[in-house]
Formats: sequence, C-alpha cells, structure tokens
Amino acid sequence: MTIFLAALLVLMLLLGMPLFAVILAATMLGFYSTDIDLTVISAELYRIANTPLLVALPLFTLSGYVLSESNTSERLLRLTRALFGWMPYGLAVISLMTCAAFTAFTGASGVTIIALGALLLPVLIKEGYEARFSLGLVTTSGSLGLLLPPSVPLILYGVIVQQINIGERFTLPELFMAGLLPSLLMIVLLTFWALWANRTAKLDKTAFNWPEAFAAIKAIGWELPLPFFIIAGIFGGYLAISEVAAATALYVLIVEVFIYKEIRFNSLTRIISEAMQMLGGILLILGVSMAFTNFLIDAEVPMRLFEWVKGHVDSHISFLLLLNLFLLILGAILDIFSALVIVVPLIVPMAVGYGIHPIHLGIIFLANMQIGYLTPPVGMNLFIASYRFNKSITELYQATLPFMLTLLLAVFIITYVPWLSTWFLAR
Amino acid sequence: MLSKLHRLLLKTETLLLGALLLSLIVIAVAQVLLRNFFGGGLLWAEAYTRISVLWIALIGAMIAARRRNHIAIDALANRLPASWKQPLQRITDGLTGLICLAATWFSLDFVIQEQAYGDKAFAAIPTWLCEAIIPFAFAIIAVRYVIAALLPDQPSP
Amino acid sequence: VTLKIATLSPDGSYWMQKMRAGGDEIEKQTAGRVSLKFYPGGVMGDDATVLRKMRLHQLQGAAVTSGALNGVYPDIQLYNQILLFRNEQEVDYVRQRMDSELMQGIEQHGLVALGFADVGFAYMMSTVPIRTLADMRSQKAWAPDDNKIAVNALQAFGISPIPLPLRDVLMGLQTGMFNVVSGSPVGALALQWHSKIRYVTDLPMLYLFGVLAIDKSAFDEIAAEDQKIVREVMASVIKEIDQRSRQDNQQAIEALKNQGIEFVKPSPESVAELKQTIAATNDAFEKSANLSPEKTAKLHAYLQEIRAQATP
Ligand code: NA
Ligand code: NA
Repeated sequence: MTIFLAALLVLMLLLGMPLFAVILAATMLGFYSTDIDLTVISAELYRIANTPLLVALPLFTLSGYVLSESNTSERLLRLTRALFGWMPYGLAVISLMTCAAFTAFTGASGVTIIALGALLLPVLIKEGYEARFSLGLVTTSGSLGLLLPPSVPLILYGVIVQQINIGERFTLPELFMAGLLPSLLMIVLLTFWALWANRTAKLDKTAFNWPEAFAAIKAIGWELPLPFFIIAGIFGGYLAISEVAAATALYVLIVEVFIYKEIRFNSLTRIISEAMQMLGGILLILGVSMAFTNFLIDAEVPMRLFEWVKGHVDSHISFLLLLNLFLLILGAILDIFSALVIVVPLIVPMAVGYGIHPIHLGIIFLANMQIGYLTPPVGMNLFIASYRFNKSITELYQATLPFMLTLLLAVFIITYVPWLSTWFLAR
Repeated sequence: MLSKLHRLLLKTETLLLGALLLSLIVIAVAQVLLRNFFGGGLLWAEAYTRISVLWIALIGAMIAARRRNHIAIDALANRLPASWKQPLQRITDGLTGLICLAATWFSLDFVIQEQAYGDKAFAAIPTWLCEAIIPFAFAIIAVRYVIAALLPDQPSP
Repeated sequence: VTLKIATLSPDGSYWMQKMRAGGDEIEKQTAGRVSLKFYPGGVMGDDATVLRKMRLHQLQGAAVTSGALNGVYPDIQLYNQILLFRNEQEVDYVRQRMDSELMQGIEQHGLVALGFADVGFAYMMSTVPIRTLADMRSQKAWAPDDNKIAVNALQAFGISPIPLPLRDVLMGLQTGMFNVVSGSPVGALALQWHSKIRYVTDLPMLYLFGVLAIDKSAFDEIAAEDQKIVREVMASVIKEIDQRSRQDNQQAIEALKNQGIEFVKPSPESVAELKQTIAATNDAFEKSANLSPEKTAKLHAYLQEIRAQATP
C-alpha cells in the first residue's frame, strides 16, 4: 500500500503536481507508516520561525525584485561600457561581470536574462560578436553570480546545513567568502573562451570618453554604493546579515521610489506580492522538506545510506567524482531550490563523513547547480532566454554548449582544489 | 456583493503581506539605530522578525495559490497531448487541495495542543497564536486548489 | 520499549559517548526490553522544538538546559539565580540535598528527570577589568534575548543589555557593539570569545546545568523493575558527566589564562555590594518566576548552613 502510494506520488510529481504538495504528502505517508503523530510536521514547519538566518531572505528578495523592476540594469550597463568599453574584448568581459553582479543581487531568479541580457544581446551583436556566441553568453551569464553575496541559494544552503547541524560549523560570511575565488575562476575561464571564440571577429571599440564616464557614474550614483555597503556590512562584521538585508531593502526602496521615481507607489504592492510569492513558494518547500528530512532522520535513513555508500565507494576522490555526476544529473531535472532542500540534508552528512568541509560542499553543490540552469529538461536559463529572445530551446542549447563545457571545467577545478573555497579558514 | 467581499479579502491578504514585510525592515533598522545611538535595543525584536518571516512566507504561499503559481516539475506534462492537459491539471490540483486539507486538519490539532500548553513566543504573545498561521494558510491554499479542480475555467480566488 | 532521546550535544562528544554506553548497558540489563535511541547534534531542533516534539510524542526524551524546562516546572530555575552560589562546594552541598526533591517535583509535572548534569558557572567576561559595581555601570553587555534572568540582572547592575542571538555574539565583541559577555569557560572557548575578551571577573555569576528528561507517559510503559534499571544506569552515567564537566571547566579556565586573559577578583566589599544590588531582583524573580516559597526558603537555609560551617 505504502509503495503504491509512493509510486502514485512520483507520477503526480511528473505530471505537474506542486512540489510542496508532493513532499508534504510523502512526509505524511512516512510519519503515518511509522506511527508518529502528523502534528510533528507542523512543528517542523514552525522551525522556519526559529531560524535567524532566514530573516535575510525576504529582505534580499525584495531588494532584488525592486532593482530588477527599475532601470538599474541600464545604468549598470552604461557605467561598465563607459569605464571598460575601450578594452579589447571589453564588452564580453563587461557582460560577464555585470551579469554576475546583477545575478548576485537579484537572487538568481532568472531576472538577469530578462533585465540585462535583453540589453546586452543587441549591443554585443552590433559590436561585431558572432550572433550565436552572443546568445550563448547572455544565456549563460544569467546564473553567473550564484556564488557571490548576497545570493539567495547560498543563504539557503547555509540555512539548511545549520538546521541539520552536522560537521564543522561555519558562518554565512565564511560561505560568502568561499564563493569569491570560484566565481572569479568561472569569469576568467569564460573570458578565455570569449577571446578564443572571437579571435577572428572584427570588433568595434568604444573610445574612452571622460564626460560620458562621469555622466554614467552620476546616473548610477545612488545605486553604486550598494555592493560596497553589502560587502562591508557582511564582511566588516558591524551588522548581522539580517540587518544588512533590512538596511539594503530600505535603501533600495527609498532610492527607487523617491529618488529615481521608477517604481510608482501603486506598483509597490504588486512587486511585494510577486517577490513574496516566490519566497513563499520556496520557504513552503523548505518547511515541508525539513519535515521530510526529520522523518528520514527519525528513521535513521541518512545513517544507513552513508553506511551503504561507504561500503561501495572507498576513496575521497571517487566519492567526489560520483558526487559531481549525481549533482549534474540532479541539476538537469530539478530547479536549484528544490534540489537544495531535498538533497542537501542527505549528502551533507555523507560528504562530511568523507572529510569534505561543508563550505566546500556548498560551493561544489551550487557550482553544479549553476550548470543545471543550462541543461535540459529543466534548464531555467534556457526557458527564460527562449521566451525572451524568441529562440528554440535546441538553438539555445547549441549556443550555450561551449559555455557549459567551460563551466564544467571550472566545476571540476573547484571540486578537486578545495583551497579555492576554503583558503581563508584557519587550519 | 459576494465578489466585492471577495475582492476585499484579497486586498486584505496583500496588504497584510506588505505591512509585515515593511515592519520587518523597519524593526531591523530600528534595532541597529537603537543599538548604536542609544545603547540598547528591543528585546522582543529578534523573535518578532523570525516569526514574521514564517507569516510572510505562508501568506506569500497563499497568494501564489491564487493562480497556482507553486513550483512544479512540468517537463513531462508539457510533452503530453494538449487535450490531456486540462484533465490532468484538475487531478493534480484536486489532490493538492486534499493534501492541504489534511495538513489543515493536523496543523489545527497542533495549534490546539500548543494552546493548551500555553507558552509565550515573545513579550505577551502566546506561541500558539504565532503558529496559527500554519493551519490558516493550508486552509486557504486547499480552498484555492479545490476550487481550481472543480471549476477549472473560473478565475480562481 | 524504545526511548528516542534528542540532544544538542554533538555525536562523539564525551556526553554522547557516555550516554550511548549507558543505552547499551540498559539494553543488556533489560535483555532488550528497553532500548535507547539517540539523536545528537541538534538534528531534532533546538531545545524548544525538542520539548515540543516530546509533547507531540515523536520523542520520548531530551537532554536540555534547565532553563528550557521553566514552562513545565518553574522550580527547576531554583538554582538559576544571580550570585546565589559562591563556589562549587556550596553547589554540591545544596544539590546533594535538593536535587531529588526537584526531580520528584518535575516528575509530578509529567517528566522523569534521570539526572542533572553540571554545565558550570557563568562568569562575566569583558574587554575592560570589572571588579566593582562602579566598573559595571555604563558598560554594554550582551544579553541572550530569551533569557529574562540575565536581562534583569544586567539592568540591576546598571549595564545596558544588548540583545543578540548567540551566534552573533563574537561579531558583537569584534565590533565593540558590547564589551561584556557572560558564559561558562568551556562555552567561551567553544564560541571563540577568548580571542576578543581580555578579562574575566573571577566571581561565579550564575550556575548552569542540564537535565536528561523522559516523558512520564512513555516511561510508565516500562515495567517497574526495568524502570529501576533505567534510572540507576542513567543516574550513574550522568554522575560521570557531571564530574567531567567540572574538570573541563577547570581546564578551560587554565586555557583562558594561557591565552593571556586576566582573571580579576572583586574584593569582598564589592561582592557584598553586588549582592545587595541584585537582592531585590532575585526576590522579584522568585515571585515572578513562580518559585515555591517553601523550596526557596530551604535553599537559603542550606546555604546558611554550609556558610556557617565554612567560617568557624
Ligand atoms: Na531592469
Ligand atoms: Na537543468
């Protein structure tokens, strides 16, 4: 009976039943079959209210939505072109860097492609970059800032590991610090690819122009301090992360509503509602997954799973190889948030058992998931770019393939060189 | 008349969400200012902000259920013949509604037990009141999905 | 009968090693009729969540700090008063005479306490030397935001309490958000406070202990002779943990001293002044926290007894 119901749930999942409902039903089934009162599920959901780190999440999500609804992306592009447009291959590098920054701020929810990619694509083509390369670049860049602060998936990883409380403890600033070099590595490798792919192209250059540079800085003057404020706030240690998030949200609201006046007061309720629908969707899945994880822990499943894997995988290296393979497949079929909440509780104890630091694991996990944005069947960047640029998924897939392979190389380096993500930890 | 009342309810839901989110910003910023300029702080603020995240999330999830905007894996569903789509949608919506109905039931039981225990979340606010949003949100989500399953062509509440 | 027991203590710690050994011993002595299953490292949630899950019958037991149980049994806070004990001898004297009474009390409230385990004294730790009440005034101190006892005490001493969750305390010290924190020596080392503080006021401020509690209804399902085995085995396990904790704190104090942290001792006059200042707060606490007047009186009588013996 239980097996039949579980199979039915999997079928329903594939047929489009909301993920939270599937996990909730699976948890109910699990607790019911082990004779535990279902009210425990509600107690687990209430743990959302017991998790200080989560406070930053709605606040950063709101800031991201407000920024993406205003013309920040245009100002950002204008600034970087004015400052770096004179460099050879400057525009390709600019695209990678601005997209990374914008993605970090807007929570990797796909808005980068809509907001920035749509601006960048015609400019890239006009300056002489090949059309397919340009399409691949903007589609790939939509998830490039995933490992940079204050990325929402990174915070979520911290929250989940904190909940299961296993392995060496770490702080969120440490997790953010861990993402810096790997992000840089990805940008550098993608830059090399950009140079190679366009070695024969004739590119226009924008000459450096002081008045335009000043005008561009002036135009973005109110938003320019934000990254510095967030970095200083998080790493300077003067404020708790939730306080950095609150101050950022307040500042962004004031700047976009009262100074740039690009967000009308009336549309604010719509933006808040949209942002919090996304957040609510994610946190509801997080809540029910915590309940499901609790069922697994109660039944001692992670422990047994670990014993089983330990019996079959003997070395650290082969575990990592298997992990990468598993995560790539996972990234192909699940979106990042679902993958995080469902799989992290299972693999963290295992990885810790193989001597992998939870910070390193988080970076490995998210770097793999970043590739997942580009792999069918569930590749969010492909969907969004297809919708926004009116191209077929196949066409996009071909355009992004070399970028994906470059990122794959980055992921392997990140996986097997833990130093990149843990260099700052005291040994 | 009924639709007017209904619109009022929808508006209240959205406004409550906005108010909670703004209060979260204001209280967190006030806490920073109080600490740095007045040497002290609101003792209940930390608990308040944590609990309001739960409320914001669940109200957000309620609103997402209006148009059934919850994250789902639709890779397979998108490949099926178009004529299958609507009946399948009604089945998954209906099941989602039933699951949420069950969740409403045991969450209510949970809140009632917690009320009998009677401890405080912060200041004079009892814990059960903070937890009450859980059955409430499940009830609303259940209603929205059940209506969508029964009346697929209606704009769902 | 399987008892599922959760604790915040990490797997592999001395606590958990001993508890697991105790579990094995019980299983052996009862020929498998009673088995203990442990969920260490906080996998079941924080103290409040764990107690909630005991009420919902997912868990049958938990090792929690005594403060977490004040909602179940107010008298459990009897020992948790500021500047109540002067030293470990006083703690031992009182606990030998009153622990069993508290255990019986909590059992009437639906929890079987298998033992109380010492966590140690909380000391004031700071970046400036604090010897007197005057030294305390106008300092900024961290206050755990869910701890009424600490907040009231700080206010009575004229210190501004700055509420912050435990995980942010190190950050608060680093940035000068506050310059006074309180905790046990073991805790200070574990949370890395020692890298920021320079002085420890050598005066036990507050006594902390943990409780291993089992849900009474689950415990009653065990046959009487097996109950006896469970009680005896776990009592001796906790006794070992209790003694080890004292050694650990001694070692932690040495480690703090080796880090160059100075232990400053308040003069008897300033201790008296501090006690006087806190007396009203403690009285108010005894009332507002619903402590039984009879037990409170007993506690103070025992303290007088041992102090009379100590000063012949
Ligand atoms: Na935009
Ligand atoms: Na994918």
